[in-house]
Amino acid sequence: MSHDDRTAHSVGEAGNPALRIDVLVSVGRHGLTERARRADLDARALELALQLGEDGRRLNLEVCHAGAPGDDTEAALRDYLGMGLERLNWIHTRESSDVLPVLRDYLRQRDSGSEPRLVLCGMRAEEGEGSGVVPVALAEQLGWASVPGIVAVETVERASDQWYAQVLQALPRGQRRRLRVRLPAILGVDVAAPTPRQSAFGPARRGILEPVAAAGDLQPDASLAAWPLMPAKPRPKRLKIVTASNARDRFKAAAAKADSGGGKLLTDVTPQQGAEAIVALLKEEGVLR
Amino acid sequence: MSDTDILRRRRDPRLEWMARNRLHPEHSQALATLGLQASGQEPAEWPGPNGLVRRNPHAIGFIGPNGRKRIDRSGAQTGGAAPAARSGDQDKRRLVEIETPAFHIAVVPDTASGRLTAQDRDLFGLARRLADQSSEQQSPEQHAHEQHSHEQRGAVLAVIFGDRVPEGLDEAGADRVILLPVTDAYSPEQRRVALSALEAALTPRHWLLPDTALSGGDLGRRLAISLGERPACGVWRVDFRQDKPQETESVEGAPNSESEWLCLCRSGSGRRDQSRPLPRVVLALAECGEPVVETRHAARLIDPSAVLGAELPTPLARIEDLGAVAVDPAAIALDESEFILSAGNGVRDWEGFHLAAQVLGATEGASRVAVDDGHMPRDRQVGATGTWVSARVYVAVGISGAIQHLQGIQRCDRVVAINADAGCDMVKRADLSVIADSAEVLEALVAQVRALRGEEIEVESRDVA
Amino acid sequence: MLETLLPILIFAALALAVIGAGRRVRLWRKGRPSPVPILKGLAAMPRRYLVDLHHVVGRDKVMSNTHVATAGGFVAAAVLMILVHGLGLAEGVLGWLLLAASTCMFVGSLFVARRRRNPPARLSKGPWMRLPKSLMAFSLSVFLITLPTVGLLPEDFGSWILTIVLAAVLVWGLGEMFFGMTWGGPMKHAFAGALHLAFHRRPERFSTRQSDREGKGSVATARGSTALKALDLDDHDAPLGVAKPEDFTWNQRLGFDACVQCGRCEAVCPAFAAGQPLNPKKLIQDMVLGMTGNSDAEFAGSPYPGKPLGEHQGQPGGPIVVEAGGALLDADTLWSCTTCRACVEECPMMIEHVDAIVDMRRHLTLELGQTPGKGAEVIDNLIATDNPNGYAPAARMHWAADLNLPLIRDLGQVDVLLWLGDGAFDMRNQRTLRALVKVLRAAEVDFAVLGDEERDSGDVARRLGDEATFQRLARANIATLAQYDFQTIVTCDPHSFHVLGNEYGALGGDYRVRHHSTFISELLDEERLALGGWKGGSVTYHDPCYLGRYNGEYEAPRKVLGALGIEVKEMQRSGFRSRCCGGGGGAPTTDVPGERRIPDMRMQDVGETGAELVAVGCPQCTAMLEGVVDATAEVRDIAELVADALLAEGSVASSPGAGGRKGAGIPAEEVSA
Repeated sequence: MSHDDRTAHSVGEAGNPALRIDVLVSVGRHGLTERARRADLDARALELALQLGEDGRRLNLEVCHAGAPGDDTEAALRDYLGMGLERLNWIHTRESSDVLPVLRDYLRQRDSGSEPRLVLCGMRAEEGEGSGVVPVALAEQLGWASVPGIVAVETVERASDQWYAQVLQALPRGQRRRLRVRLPAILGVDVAAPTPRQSAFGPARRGILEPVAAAGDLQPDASLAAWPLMPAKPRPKRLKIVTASNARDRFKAAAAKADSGGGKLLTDVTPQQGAEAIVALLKEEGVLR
Repeated sequence: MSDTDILRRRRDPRLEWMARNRLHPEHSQALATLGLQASGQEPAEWPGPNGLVRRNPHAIGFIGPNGRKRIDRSGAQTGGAAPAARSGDQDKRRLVEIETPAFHIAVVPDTASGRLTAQDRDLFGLARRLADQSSEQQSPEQHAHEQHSHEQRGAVLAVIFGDRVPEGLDEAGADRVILLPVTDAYSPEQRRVALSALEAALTPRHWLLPDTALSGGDLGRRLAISLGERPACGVWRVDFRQDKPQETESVEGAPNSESEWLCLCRSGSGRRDQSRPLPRVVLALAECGEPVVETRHAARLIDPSAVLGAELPTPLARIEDLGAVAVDPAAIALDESEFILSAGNGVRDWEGFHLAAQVLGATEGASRVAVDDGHMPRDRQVGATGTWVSARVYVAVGISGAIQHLQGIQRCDRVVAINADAGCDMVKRADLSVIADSAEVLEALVAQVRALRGEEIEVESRDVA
Repeated sequence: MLETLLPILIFAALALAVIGAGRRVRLWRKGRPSPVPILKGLAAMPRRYLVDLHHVVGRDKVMSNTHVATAGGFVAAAVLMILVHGLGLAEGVLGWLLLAASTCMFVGSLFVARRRRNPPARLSKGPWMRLPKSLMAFSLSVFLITLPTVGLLPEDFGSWILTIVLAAVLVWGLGEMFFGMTWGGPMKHAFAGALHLAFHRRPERFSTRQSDREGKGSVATARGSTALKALDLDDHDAPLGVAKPEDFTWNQRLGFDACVQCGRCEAVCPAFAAGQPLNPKKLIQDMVLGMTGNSDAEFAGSPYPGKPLGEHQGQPGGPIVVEAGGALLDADTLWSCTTCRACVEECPMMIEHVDAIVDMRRHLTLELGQTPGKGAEVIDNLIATDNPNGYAPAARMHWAADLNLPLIRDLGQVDVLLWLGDGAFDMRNQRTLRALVKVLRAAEVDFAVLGDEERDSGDVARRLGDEATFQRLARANIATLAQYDFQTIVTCDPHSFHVLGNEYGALGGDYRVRHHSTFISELLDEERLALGGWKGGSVTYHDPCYLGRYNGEYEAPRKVLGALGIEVKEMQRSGFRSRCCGGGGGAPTTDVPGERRIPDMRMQDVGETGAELVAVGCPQCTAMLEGVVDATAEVRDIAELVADALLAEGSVASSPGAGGRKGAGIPAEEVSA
């Protein structure tokens, strides 16, 4: 995959406590068929966690989903099990429940003591609102750090009695930024993170979906109840904004094809002329930097 | 020059006659005087003896997509010089000033490298609508009236981090600008605290942020959570409510349901919409509103210390920015890249190709054949059997365009073909095709881009000095 | 002295052989159970040997005769020797027969020796080089010790030195032939091979008297005999594929032991020729090593291209493939296979290489989730969208928007169900499909399509080892097909043809399936098509593996081409020896690097015939061969050739919709834009 995958993870010295990782996963749906499956970003989060464990670091990994029971959900969760998990905690909620307090209580309950602690999840869910608020809200309520756009966790180190993780954040155009994050932290994983490993049928079938009772009472999600989701309307394509003052120009702009491509063909030009045309296009698109 | 311009000028019949008579010894001077001839070319048009404009069909027109010559007789294409003149026109836009705003609509633009992004401008457009809402409610006559009471109107407040005011805030639609003294480094916690301070001081009616992954989107979510409300994410449409919201509609736990605006939020998967009253914090997608075009605004700077007090509180910094990581553009994953230089069977000079990719800062791609022949690694293969790419610009060098390859570049915005064969499918697909020896074109490209860069570097260094 | 020595030697060798046989059988039986009729199998063995095996061996006449002489001579000599020298029944004609048998064997072994003088690369060396000498030692010494028995020489002929020398040579011969047979020498192939014939896991591969009467060929294309065996996914304890050597069934393990290392598979394997790390012969030998747990350093044949010998070591009970490499096999060896079945077709010992490879792939995919290349993506797409490229299922019929194809959902009952396959999404194959529709309409065939209800047949998923996805797709397709009433399924995709016809049976779907070339040939027989003459240049025909070797259909395509007036310029490798295009078994998605590309080699085969056009009958072959750069021949599907040759009166593509005729008639340019 991309360049940052092989960044060396510093393996802590012997006697380091295990790294405690919770991965929060949700149900994904295929874009065309809407069949339930693992959510891409959450799967990448799990992949990051699994890779952290492959360097010989002791890992205390737990994967958790909060949601209502159902066949679709089970199928999707088994996809995560198929990545090589033995079990996955499933906090059973109701269809209309707000998962935020449920997850908050779950994470708070499983206090890790002095262990370094990371929570990984995709930046957005594919089901429901998928607004991407949950990781931020969880961090706020737990008083933890929250960082979006994560593509790699490079090191986890202790400095003056405090654990820090060094992570890479994805910027546009494939650029990366290195951050040092105080733990515990909730890391929102980006699409540029390593491709999740294949979900295999055998482990998916064998793995255990461990039902977990929600800590407190289930609260209904008031806003979702008030403002239900509906199928997305197609977004109108924006017409070129015409500031022309005369009617002919306005008419021409309105009648013109939205994408007046067509293609320009330069034959019998010197290489210099050709290059000039290309440079002009590159400048126009703003990719020459 | 449009026809009317020529006609309006005082006519000199003798000069026009000389211009018409190609055999006249002073023919070209006459043309030059009339401003019809650029430099040694055939004149594209000239006034005929009866005052009608005559056109030379050989000198006008353009080469169409199929290589055929096309003449656009609608007048938009005369000689290729016409529309430029308009830019010199004086700014006809109305200047709007709001002295005492009734409320504020805060916009926190992303500003990529000191400039407003297109999405920022859309956001300002939306903010204008929200700020001018009272006037929108009024009847058309009142609306047309210039001098309506300012008290009902809100002001759009641009919130900028750092100490540089981005260009064009006035054109974008900002009435006020505030610079928050925050470091350039990634510091979402500090920024959120600064916004909270501003919230305490001005309490804007709405906070508008672009719903982008790292900047606005993240900051807006943090702000909303700290305000204890659920932000509207992925907002792509905002409508004024025709029916007044009734009390019964208000739902417990669903804040701000009394808003006069309704927004449509796109869900994370892009397959669902949610319609809800506009909350205070709005994270909006690109094209959520029309950018401002007809008016200019004051963009008056506000002194932050006057509003926020002397110093911003410093939060516990849990995140420390260690700086950018050097990324080799050639190593960027193909599906992340927005500028791809792709090589095919027609490439002979591979050194030149790699050099060009390096100089242009493009990610390298390849056709299946180039990969099969061992010139490029397999993870660089573009196409239905390789990687589907969605670059902004895709430059295909010596790629004839097998169906699988064309399928793989469907989502690219602009395609440039450099090819020796004008008849290949890639040329049919391309927005710009250069039919020439690919090695020579790449060489010329490298030279030109280097020259371009050289100038830029010189300019910059002079600035520093 | 010899009279006392001989029985001891013979019975000692026999006893050792029996002990060895017991050990070997125990080794095989460590595999998983596979029920076979023991007695029936043993009874069928001689026929299978004499008819089916020799049908394969007989492709090389010299070798076939050599083997008849040597093996026949040996079996006769061995039996007679036990009678004459072991039991002392020297009376009458028996001694003379023994002399004749050993002479025959000696002559055979001379030919074996000649072959070993300059052995081709595909033959294993090592212990196999001594085999002709051992054969001669056995036959010569038996001949010599029998001379006094029949009275041609005096009983006390020669000195005791000569006797000792003779006894020593005899011990060598007996050792190789009896001891070596069950303890692991070259002669092991005779013992294991005979039992393998008896207990073969695909008894349907062999001819019976009845099939002979019906005039069917004796080899390998009986219905279902080429189908992969289904995994029982409901049994949660059954291993998903083969992780360790013991996960093979016992008769598969027996089959591995039967290998004679003749290297015919190696000679025909497209992946080996392309320099990909696969050699079917070595793969089978590695499976043998896995049973005993040895290193491959001693292997005396060609290694996997690019993988030196001695770096891999098997372990009974250990994994066959580990991610880091160095176990019995590397994964890329398994993923190089195109499942073209050329090795199985050539194997004189009837070993099932492809089964073994897919079994091991199943483990990699279903248990480890290590389908390489784009394989994982293809499987994910199949799971989510029922087609390997992740297109919207609702877009399956977009290519035929102007053709007004009848849907079987609307008709309910129809003669022919046209199975489109995933080629419906592929712009190139859409041209073939259009041509086929035109032909069907010209012949006024009552046909319909499933439309959006069709799913991928599951072929790719199954070859990539994802049996779960295959079975899901298959059951879904079977449930869909069960709703409708049709006589025949016609498809232009040999992979769908094979899977629908041969592999759905095990899951409860039995259909009459025809490849479009077969169906067109039937239409021609019924004179329902009027074709014009061929005006183009010379033409060759490429046999798709899944039509030819998998289903034995070599004639129909040639007949159709003949009806067009084309005289097919055959490639050197055609018919059952056709070389794969490289597109099968998911090989294009797993994409294991080699030194050459398989389709390039096949296009070179085409070029050698001088043909200007290569006719094909498979979307995979079309795609692979058209992907060859600077090809000398054009690639056209048989359906396209027939559609082009339709005479005017017959060529009215009777689509009532506007533009339908134009759409069916103009295949190429408009779809490529």
